[in-house]
Amino acid sequence: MPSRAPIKLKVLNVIAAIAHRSKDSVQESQTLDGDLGLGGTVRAALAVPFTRIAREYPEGKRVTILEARALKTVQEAIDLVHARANGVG
Amino acid sequence: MWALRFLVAMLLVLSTAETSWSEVKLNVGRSASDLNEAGEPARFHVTWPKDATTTWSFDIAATAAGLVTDRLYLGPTVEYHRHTQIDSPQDAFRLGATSILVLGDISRGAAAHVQTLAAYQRQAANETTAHGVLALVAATPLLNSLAIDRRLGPDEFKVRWRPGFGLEYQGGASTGQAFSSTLRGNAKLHLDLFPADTYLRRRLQVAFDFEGWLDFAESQDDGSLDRRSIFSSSATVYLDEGRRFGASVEYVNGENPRDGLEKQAFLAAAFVFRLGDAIP
Repeated sequence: MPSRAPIKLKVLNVIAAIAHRSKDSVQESQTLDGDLGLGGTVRAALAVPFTRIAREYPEGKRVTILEARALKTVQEAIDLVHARANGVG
Repeated sequence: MWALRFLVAMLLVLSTAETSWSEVKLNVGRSASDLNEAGEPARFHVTWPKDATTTWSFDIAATAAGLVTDRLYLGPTVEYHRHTQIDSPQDAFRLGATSILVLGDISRGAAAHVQTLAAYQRQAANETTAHGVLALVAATPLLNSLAIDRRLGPDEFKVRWRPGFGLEYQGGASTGQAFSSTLRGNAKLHLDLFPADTYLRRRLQVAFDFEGWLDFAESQDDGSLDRRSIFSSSATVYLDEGRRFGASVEYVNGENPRDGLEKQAFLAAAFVFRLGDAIP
């Protein structure tokens, strides 16, 4: 059962790289669209790296492009990938 | 009048679907066949003059997700564009299936958002109605280095851009006419401006769209390669932070062969709305 902390680190790495930010400047409370400027097609494409992270764990399940596009905040993204890594959903 | 009945029926479906749309993942926006407009809200405009014919227009599309994975979206789609008040009325109805495929891995530098659509299409113009098919493939590159589909700039003024290109096949026949078809390529550019982005909390959106087509092959070849283009610009004010309801003013100049909009220029004001997170 992976804990939230290592998942958070990986998700922040992905979001920071795509948003052209340093990892330390990305906060859980930030919104993906409003604060980090990620448009709908970019958020949908996040399903691929998020699924890759979740499937690094034995129970890992996929994140769909609809789920990824619907994400509002960094916190929601971490929680979603954490849930999928634990086989939830 | 069947068009008005269709719109009323669709609005009824939406109003009754409020509690269940999230389960069936129903999305309503402006277009299912144009990636640049897929994320834009549907729009509706009506005018009731005192001593003249009522005129109205709407652009609406709905999709329901069937199969969805981390790379694929596949679902049925219905789309309708109708304008009665412009110089050459537009009337295009489409029913089919659309898919979205995400290629590559955006976290590794590059990905592409590829849409395909196959649909039955009905287009009416100049008192003739044509029935046919529309098939298209359209791609949006998502290159990290070019910051495509990302809002850039200071809080006072942000900009977002999204290019696209594709191929379209359109074939059909009017009553008593021979079947004709066209294969065309197209390229498009979408630009959003967000003035006073933080202060207005994204409630004001100014958008510019340019799309051009070049016919590669026509079954009824007139010896020339037709070129068509359309430019539109709009300013939309959203009434809610979720950007679901608002009002917009739009200027359109050009022609859109895919949607049956003949060459013209017009200015329109409209009520706009969306449901769901739009077509991915």
